[in-house]
Amino acid sequence: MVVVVAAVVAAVLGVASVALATSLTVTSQRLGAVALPVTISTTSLVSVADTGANQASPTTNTGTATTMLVESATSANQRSFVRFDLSAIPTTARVQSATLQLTMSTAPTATRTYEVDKVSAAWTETALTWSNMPAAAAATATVASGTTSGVNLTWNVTSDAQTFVANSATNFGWQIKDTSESSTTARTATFRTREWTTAAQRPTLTVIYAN
Amino acid sequence: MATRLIACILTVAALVLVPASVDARPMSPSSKALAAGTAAVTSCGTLTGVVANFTISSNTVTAVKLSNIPTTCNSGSVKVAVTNAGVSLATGGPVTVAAGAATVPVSPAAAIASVTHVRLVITGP
Repeated sequence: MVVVVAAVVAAVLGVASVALATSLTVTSQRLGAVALPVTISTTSLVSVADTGANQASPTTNTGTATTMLVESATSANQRSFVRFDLSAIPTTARVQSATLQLTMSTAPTATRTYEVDKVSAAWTETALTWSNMPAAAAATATVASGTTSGVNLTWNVTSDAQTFVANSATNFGWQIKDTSESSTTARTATFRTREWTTAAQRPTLTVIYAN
Repeated sequence: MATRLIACILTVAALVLVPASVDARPMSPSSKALAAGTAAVTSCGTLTGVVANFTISSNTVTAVKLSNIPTTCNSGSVKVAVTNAGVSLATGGPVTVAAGAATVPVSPAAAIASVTHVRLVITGP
């Protein structure tokens, strides 16, 4: 009888044991964490040089004028040039955005597309003319002018600014021109230069950078 | 004799089962066997060389663009927090790492002037 009772108890406990059995699985997973220090700074620069070049007056310099023009006209195209001093930005900075802004005091009578091109050779504000103007790369950015005077036009020049900051390209500034020059009907825009009395309307380059 | 034996068996069974019944409650059963061990937690690579750039809108950070992530972390999952002195300003992720890079949108938008660190956590692959 004792054996039978033990068997019954064992059977009951055995069932309970099976019911309570669980498994433990340990899963290994890769985990990496880091805190990267970063500072994001903004600087707004006014041009240190700006001037225009006029095909119709190929040897005339207008470096001290308060305005510069962009014009598309047969044998009378005009281009503008600007340059900014980026030396205050650390060469290790990572440029997050760079925006060139010009105040267009007089808009063309029909909307045009204006491009900025990275200039590839040296120039000075008081010597540049149509005849000696430096070469420039293909368009960095373009913008539609619209026909409203007294507005600001902006171009995204982030990639160019990064090369200037890192000194991977020499900073010769930018050229602004009509993407379709030599129009049979003259289309002209006038922009303020750094000589303009109202500081807020001078050419500016706003750079946001991280380091 | 047989009747007494059966009665005895039933009595013993009842004694065993009754406490079990009393103990039955809606709770997790305990394992009678306990396993113990260690599991190594490693990183997919050295993360101190990761470079953080930003998508910026109206002077706020709206996304963190990570690059130079070790390629051994590809297919892993990354979460980021943009912080100021340890205080979270914005968070984002998880985003899958691909080709050593990931762009992680964060919210809310964080003022760029307040950002001092980008914390990132990569799990897997």
